[in-house]
Amino acid sequence: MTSRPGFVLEVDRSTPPTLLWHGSSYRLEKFPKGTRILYPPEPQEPLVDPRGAIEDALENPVGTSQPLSTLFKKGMTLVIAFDDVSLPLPQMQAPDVRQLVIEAVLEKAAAAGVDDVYLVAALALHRRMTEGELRHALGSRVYDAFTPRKRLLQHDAEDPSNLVDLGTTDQGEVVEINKLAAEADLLIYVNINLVSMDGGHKSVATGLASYRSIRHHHNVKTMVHSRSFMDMHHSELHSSNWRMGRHIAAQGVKIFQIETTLNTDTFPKLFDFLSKREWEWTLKDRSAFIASSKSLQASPDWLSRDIMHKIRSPYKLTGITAGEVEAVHARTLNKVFSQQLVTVEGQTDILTMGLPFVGPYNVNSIMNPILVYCLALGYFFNMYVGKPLVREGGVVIISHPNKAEFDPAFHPSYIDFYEQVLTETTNPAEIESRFEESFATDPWYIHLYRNGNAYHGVHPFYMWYWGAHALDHLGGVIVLGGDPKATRRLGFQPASTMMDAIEMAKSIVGDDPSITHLHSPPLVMAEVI
Amino acid sequence: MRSLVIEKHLRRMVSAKILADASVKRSLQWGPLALKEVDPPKIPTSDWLRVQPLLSGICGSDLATVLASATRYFEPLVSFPFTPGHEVVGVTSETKTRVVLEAALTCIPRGRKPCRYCALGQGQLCESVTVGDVKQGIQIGYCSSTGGGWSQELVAHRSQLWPIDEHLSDEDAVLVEPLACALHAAATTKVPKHAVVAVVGAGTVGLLTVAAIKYLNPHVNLAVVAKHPIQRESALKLGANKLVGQEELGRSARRTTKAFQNGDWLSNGYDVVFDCVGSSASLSNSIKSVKPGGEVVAVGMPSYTGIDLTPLWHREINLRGTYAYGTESFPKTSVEHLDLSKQVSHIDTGDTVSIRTFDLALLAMEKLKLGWLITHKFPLENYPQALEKAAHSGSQDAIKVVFDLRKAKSTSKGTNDL
Repeated sequence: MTSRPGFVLEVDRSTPPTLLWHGSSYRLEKFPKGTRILYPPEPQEPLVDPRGAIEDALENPVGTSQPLSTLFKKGMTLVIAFDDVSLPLPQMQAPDVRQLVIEAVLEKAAAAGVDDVYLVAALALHRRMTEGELRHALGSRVYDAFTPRKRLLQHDAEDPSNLVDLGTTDQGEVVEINKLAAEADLLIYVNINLVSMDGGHKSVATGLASYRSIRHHHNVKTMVHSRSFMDMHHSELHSSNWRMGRHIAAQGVKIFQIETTLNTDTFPKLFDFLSKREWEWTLKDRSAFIASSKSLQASPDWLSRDIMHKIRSPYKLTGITAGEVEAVHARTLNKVFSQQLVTVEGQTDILTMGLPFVGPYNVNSIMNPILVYCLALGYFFNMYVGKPLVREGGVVIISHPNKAEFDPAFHPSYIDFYEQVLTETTNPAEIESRFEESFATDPWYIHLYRNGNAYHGVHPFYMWYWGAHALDHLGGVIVLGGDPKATRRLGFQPASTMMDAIEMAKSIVGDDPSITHLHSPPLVMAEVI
Repeated sequence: MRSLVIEKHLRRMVSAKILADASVKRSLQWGPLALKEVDPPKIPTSDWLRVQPLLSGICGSDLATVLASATRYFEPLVSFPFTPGHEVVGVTSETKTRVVLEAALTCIPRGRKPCRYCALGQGQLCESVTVGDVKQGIQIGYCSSTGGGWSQELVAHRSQLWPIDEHLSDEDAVLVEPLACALHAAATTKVPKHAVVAVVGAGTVGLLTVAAIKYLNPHVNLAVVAKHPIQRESALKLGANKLVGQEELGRSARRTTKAFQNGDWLSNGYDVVFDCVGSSASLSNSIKSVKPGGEVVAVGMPSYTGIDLTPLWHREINLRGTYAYGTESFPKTSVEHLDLSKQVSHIDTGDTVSIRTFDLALLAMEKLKLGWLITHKFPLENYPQALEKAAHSGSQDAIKVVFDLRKAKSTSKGTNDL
C-alpha cells in the first residue's frame, strides 16, 4: 500500500476546524474561507527488513567507496561519529536507528579484528548529551561497552588538544575539526537525515568542527544567502560546508558516510490524531483530542512539557545509503523530498504555523523565546524549495505561548542573550558585530559547554542568524497567544486570537490577503511554483 | 502663613503606616500631615535669615516620614511639630537673593563650636544635631525651630544658604541638594577609572547618582537597574552605558566581567554597586553582584531589611552608607576634567583638592542642568495629589515631584521634556 501524498486544501464552509500546535498543547482553529492548508504527505512505507537494508548499504556503498568490510584492517583506528540528540524530533522509539547502524558497523569491525574504536557524538556547539540520551541513541549494549573504557566521547569544540587545523578552503574558511576523527584511519559518520538540511559534508564540517571553523558559515551573511538552507543548491550554508568537506577529504581524511531517512510517522497511537486530517478523525480521535488538549492546558507548564517530551516517535527507517559523501547525500535528498515535498501554487500574503513543544535545541528542555523564534523563522519558514511560501513583505503568524522561561542548565547564554542583547537590538547584523565574540569567548559559557550540558555561548546567536533570511524577507511577525512582553522583546507583535492576528496582518499586507497554513508537524516542505 | 505640618500624633502615625501599603491617598487622609495656618518660625539668632521657598522637593525620606513608614531611629532626632522640605530653592526676605538651602543642621548653624567632624568639613557626621540654638533635627525640614520647605517661609542660618547664578533655573536649583547627596556618594567611593559600576534604582536618587558618577568618573562602564520606561530613558540620557532589569543584576554582573557562577556565587562582579533603593531585595542583589572585595554603597535611605549576609562575609564585601554631604577630597589627577579652581570652597593641597559638596553640586548643576528631572509641580494646597504622585513616581511617568510656591495657587503639571 502506498502512502497518500501531501496536498493543499482550500478551506470552505464544510472544512472542519484545523488543528494548530501551541507549544505543549494544541487547539482547533477555524480559518477564513479560501485559506489554503498545506497537509504533509502520509508516512512512507518503512523498509521491511531494516537490519538487512543496513547490511546491504554497508556492503554496497555508492560513489567511489569500497564495501565497508574491505576498509577494515587489523590495528587500524576507527572513529564512528554520530548525530546528537537534536535528531530526530521527537526522539524515536527504541531501537534508535543510530543504534542499529552502529551495532552493524561494530560487528563488522570486530569481525575484521579492529579493536581501536571510538564513538564520538558530533555535537558541534550543541550541549553534551546526558547518559540517558546516549543510552537511547546507541543502546545500552554499546553504551556499556564503550563508556568504561572512555571510548564513547562527545566532540568538544573548545578542546585545543583535540582539534586539528587542516588549513583553509580556497575562500579562506578555516577548517578545524576533531583531531581524533581527522587522524583516524577511517571516520564513519552515521546520520539521521530528518530534513534536507542535514547530512552531506555538513556532518563532519560542522558536527565535528570548532567555533573558529563554524563561524565561517554560521553567520548572518551566509544565512541571508541561504534560500533556503533546506535546498542545498541555493544555500550558502551548504556551499561553505561543501568547500570545507572537500578540503577535509583533500587533506586525506577518509570518510565513510552513512545517511538514513525516516518516514514521518511522528506520533504514537495515543496521539494518532495529530497526524491525521481533521475530517478523517474518528470518534476516538476526537475524544483523544479533547481529553489530551484539555488535560495539557490544565496542567502546569512543567508537567505538560514533561508529558510531551516523553513522546517517542514510531519513526521507521525508509532508506539507508552509505559510501562517498556526495553520492550518498544526493540519494538521501531524493528520499527526503519524496517523503516531505508538496507542490504549492504561488506564494501567500500570510503564513500561519503552530509551533510544537520541541525543536532541535530543546529536547528534554524548555522552548524559550529565542528557540521559538528559531523554530518559526529558521526552520518552518525555510521548509521550502524554490521560493518561500510567504511572499516578500508578507506576514508570518506563529501560534505558541512564547513565555520567557529558560533552562539555566542547557541554555545559560540564552538568558543573557535575551536580557542583554535583545533589549538593545534585534537586528541580526548588529547583534553579530556588537555581541557575538564576547559571548563566544566567555569563559563561563565555555566551561559549562565543556563540563556541563550547556549549549555553547554563541549558540543563541546562531539561532538568531537562522532567522535572518526570514527577517529580511518578511513584513511582520505576529505571535498568537504569545506572552506580550516576550513577544515584543523578539521584535514581534502579540495577538490573542487568530482573527485579531489576521486583522493585524492586514495592516501590513493589505485587505483581502491570501492565507496559507502550514499543517506541521509531521514535517512538510513546500515546493512553491 | 500656610505650611504643611507633621505633628506627633501616635494614632495618626499608626493609621498612616497601616494604610500606606493599600492606599497612599487614605494614608495621607488619616496620617499626621496637615496643611495649616501657622506663625512664621522665629529667628533663632542674628545669623539666621528668613527664606521664602520658590520650589521645594519631595524626597523619599519625606515620603517615608509622611507615610510613617520610616524607621523609628530618627524619632529622637527630630522635633515636633515640624514642616518637611529640605530640598529648597528660595529667596531671602531681606535682599531677595535667590539661594539654595544646605539643609543639614550642624555645629555652625546651631551656634556651636565645630565638633571633630565639622572641623574636618564632615558635617554629615556632626555630633551636635540635638543641641544648640535650635531644637533637635538633623536638617531643616525635621526641626520645629526652623520650619521647612513645604511652607511659605522658613528660617536658615547664613552658612546654609548658597546664592545661585541667574542662569540656573529654579528647577535646576531645587535639585542641587539631592545632587550634593549623590555627589557625596560618588566622591567618597573609590571608583577606578575604567571600573564597571552598577546603580540600582532609577528614581530621583538613582538618577542623580548616575549623573554624579558620570560627572566625576566619565570613563566608568555604568549599568543601571531601571524599572519604568521614563526611568530607563532618563538613565540613558544621563550617561548609563547599559540598562538592566530588576532581576538581571547578578547575570549582568557575570556577563560584564565574564565571571564564573555557581548558584549565587560569582567569581567576579561589579567593582562598586550603588544601591539607591535600600530594600532587602535590592541590597541582597547588590551584595551578590559586586566583586569579591568590592563595595556596596547604600545611597537611598534603607529601613528594616532582611538580608543574607553570608556572601558579604564570604566574599569580603564592604557595605557602606552615605548620607548627605560635607567636604569632598580628590586626588588632583582624578578631577582634572573639572575646573574646580573658581569655586569658593576649593582648597588645593598639592596632590589633593578638596571642596564643599554643595559647591561641587552647584558647579556640576551648571554643566548638567538637571531641572528636566522635575516632571510634576503642585501647589501646597494640592499636597495629597503631589505626595501620591511622588509615591508612585516611576509607574506614573514621574521622576521628581516638587511643590511650587511661586504663586499662591498654581496647578501646573510639569512638562516632561525627555
